[in-house]
Amino acid sequence: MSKTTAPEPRTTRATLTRRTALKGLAGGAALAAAPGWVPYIEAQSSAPLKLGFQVHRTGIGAAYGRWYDRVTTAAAALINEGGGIGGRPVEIVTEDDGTDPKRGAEVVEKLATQHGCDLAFGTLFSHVVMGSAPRAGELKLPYFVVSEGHHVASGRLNRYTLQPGITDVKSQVRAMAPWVTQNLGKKVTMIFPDYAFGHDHRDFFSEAVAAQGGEVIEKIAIPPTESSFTKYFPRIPRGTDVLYHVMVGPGVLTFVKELGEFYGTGARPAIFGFIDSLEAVDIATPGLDFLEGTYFWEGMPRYAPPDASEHEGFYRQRVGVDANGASMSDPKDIATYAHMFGCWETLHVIKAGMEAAGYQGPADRAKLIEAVEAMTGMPESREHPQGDKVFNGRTHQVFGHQFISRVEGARLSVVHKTSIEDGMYPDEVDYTTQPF
Amino acid sequence: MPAMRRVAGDGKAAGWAAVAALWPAAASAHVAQRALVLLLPTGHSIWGGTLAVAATFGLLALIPGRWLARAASARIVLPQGGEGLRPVTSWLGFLAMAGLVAAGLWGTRDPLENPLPLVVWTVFWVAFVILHAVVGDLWHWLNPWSGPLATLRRAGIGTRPVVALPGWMGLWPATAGLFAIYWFALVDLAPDDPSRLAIAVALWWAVHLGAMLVFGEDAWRGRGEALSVLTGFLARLAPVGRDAAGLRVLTLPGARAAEGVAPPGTAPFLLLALAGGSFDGLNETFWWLARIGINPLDFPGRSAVVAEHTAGLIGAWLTLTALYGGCVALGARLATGRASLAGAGQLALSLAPIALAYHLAHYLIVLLINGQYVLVALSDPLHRGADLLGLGPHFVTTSFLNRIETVGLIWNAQAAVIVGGHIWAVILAHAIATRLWGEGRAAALSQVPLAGLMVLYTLFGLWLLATPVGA
Repeated sequence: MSKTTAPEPRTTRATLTRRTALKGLAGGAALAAAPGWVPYIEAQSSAPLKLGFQVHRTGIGAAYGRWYDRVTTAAAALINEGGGIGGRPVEIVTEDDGTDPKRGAEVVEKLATQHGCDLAFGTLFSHVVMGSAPRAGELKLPYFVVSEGHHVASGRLNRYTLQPGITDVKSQVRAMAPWVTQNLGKKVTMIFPDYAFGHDHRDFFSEAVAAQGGEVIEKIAIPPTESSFTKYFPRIPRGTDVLYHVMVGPGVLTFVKELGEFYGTGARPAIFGFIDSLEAVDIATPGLDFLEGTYFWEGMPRYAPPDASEHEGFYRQRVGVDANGASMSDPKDIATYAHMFGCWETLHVIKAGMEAAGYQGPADRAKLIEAVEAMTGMPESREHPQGDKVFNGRTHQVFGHQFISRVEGARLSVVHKTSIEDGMYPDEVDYTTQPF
Repeated sequence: MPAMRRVAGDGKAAGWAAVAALWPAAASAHVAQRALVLLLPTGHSIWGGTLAVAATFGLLALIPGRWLARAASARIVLPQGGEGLRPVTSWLGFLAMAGLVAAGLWGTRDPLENPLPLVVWTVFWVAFVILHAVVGDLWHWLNPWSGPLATLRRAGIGTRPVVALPGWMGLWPATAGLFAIYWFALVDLAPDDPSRLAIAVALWWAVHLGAMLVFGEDAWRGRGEALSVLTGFLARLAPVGRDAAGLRVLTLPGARAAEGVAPPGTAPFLLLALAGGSFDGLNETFWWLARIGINPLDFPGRSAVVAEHTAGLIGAWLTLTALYGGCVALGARLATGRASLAGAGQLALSLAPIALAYHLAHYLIVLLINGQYVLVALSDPLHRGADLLGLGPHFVTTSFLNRIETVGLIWNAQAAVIVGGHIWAVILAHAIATRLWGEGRAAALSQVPLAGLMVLYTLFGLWLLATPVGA
């Protein structure tokens, strides 16, 4: 019993494997079965709950998938050490979707029918979510995505698809506008890749800036195939207060370098970007010196802020990430820290939802959805180390705080934490009106 | 490579996928690495490497062909024998395969934890295949057929071929098999899926066992089973192996590559090996994605490009074959006054080092990443949380792809491999051409077209390593 409840042994790999996490639960389940341990363990199966983890192990999402897997493994181990879900151990059943939408749908079906999973979770890339969610809906399989796309809240998906562990891009972009316009300036020039991802940023941010009394004075769309950017910079108007960039892909470091060469050491506007451009990349990379003094959105601060909560520190330690956002086993291995907390928080929402629903088996899947839809506030805690959140049961989307960080000494330092309300927008759907 | 990567279709569908897309292509480890490569001064290396290959050819033209021939014929005869152990080593290979197939069917579903995909795509397809060019014909010893067939023969089954494999078929059965392997690796939706791969491996074994019973083990392994043929060509580059007379000898690396006759179909087989390795690199580039109408920052997944990548793989093979055939014919015309493809098979033996180089250069990063997962799997073979190798928690890292120093180191190593492979090929081609057409001005002139192709291919190979990728 003591072994299963003591959360400190993080020194061997053994403590981190899913199998061990499950094994440790043998004692945990016995503990949970003790009278009065938890109120929801009446006569029910002690068989493991099977949570299907749809992960981008291969394909273009593999770099993120590695960290999503690591966070998921850590969260499942913690849940099992604490007695599992409703007294039952949790087993994570991993299936790789190759970051492909068609394969994603196949994998969802495999998780549901072949492996008998109670639900599926963890999908990250939006095109895979869009390809997989309809199948989850057909199979009536609760599907918890961690993709931060606006697809859930936009109403394009279904009653069985939820995003309770990470905020969506619309919310993130809108939440930036008040601080940016009040602190960096009201005249914004946007540089973005010329396709839907960039257009989202353009549209969401233009609208939010206008609402704050600011103005996007120039929108510079860069063709996705471009690998040299200098020729676009003369289009940045002289009166620009803030340059907002969301460049992505292999050209992103070249973009930063050329922007630095363009401005040299002379005066330049304030520069604001999304960390997606540099997720898992060392800010201290030669050629990125120009980023010094510029600002980034972060979903969760890569460098532990001095005032970080104990929960944040606990999460970091359990996942094996140091105070610089790198792996404890390799200080140069930078985590996808701004996003991966979503897996941790999603698993804890699943746990809370299943326990609230008195979940016994697949017959209770609709009850689980209703239990999650009924959630509202989520206080900052071990379960929610990124911060407190508000869940909107009608749109199936969670809302939370965002961070704005400044590059100082080749590190990111948090300068502002937005309010949850900064990122809120009117409902675009009410999934609770859809039948199961 | 599998472990490691749709047409925009109607604009609306793709548009929507992307509307929701938050996750840009920067997500790929390869893309992060490529972003750093774009900061490196790769231009000098590209032109320098290409010039080095051209200079090698120029230098060779000044060296009498008999010098090369003498160097190539230098050999030390090694102890013979040991063949009696083959059934035993082959049974070990069979048992390993069977165990891996079982793991694929019943083990964890995670392709980076299940030993089957790790062993097939990283240990076997990358490391083991390449090792043949260093230490010789390992597959000869470890293939999963020889042992079981020896046992069957002892029981009176398969003692002689049912029918002879027609000579006109040449290496075409093996070529078809090699195409199937490349297609599965590059185009199939889930080549890493443990159960799918287990079925593929079991089928491969069963089909070829059947073919060996029908056509005879030696005939089918020599011309029908793609892995035996491929590793056989690569093993001829190794310093240790059997020469044309069947003696186990120690020679200069590559000295045996051009010996003996090239069976019919040698050129198409080796050209496919090279084209497959080249397309598995080209298919990720911005250039290729633009050709097939894919936004390189928003790669929609393999399922969207099945037809395009199938056509691309075939197209790469046909294009390379046309270029090669043209250069050989032109070379023959310069040497003899008459265009002919008679030397195409023999000269194709010089392509083996280039195919090897593309294989190693392209899969080096896969080896560096998935090799770590292999170690983790070895450290915990039963997936029970053991740590037999003492690797500690969170052993797997990809930080070497996120740092410009290590990315530069890896890039230079890849470039050196590509240039080295081409230089090796130019030397081999020179030796073969001298044998075909003798020495003298006409013979030297005859090699110019093929050497020119190799110089251009060096440029292409180095460009592949440096150009932006998005898939």
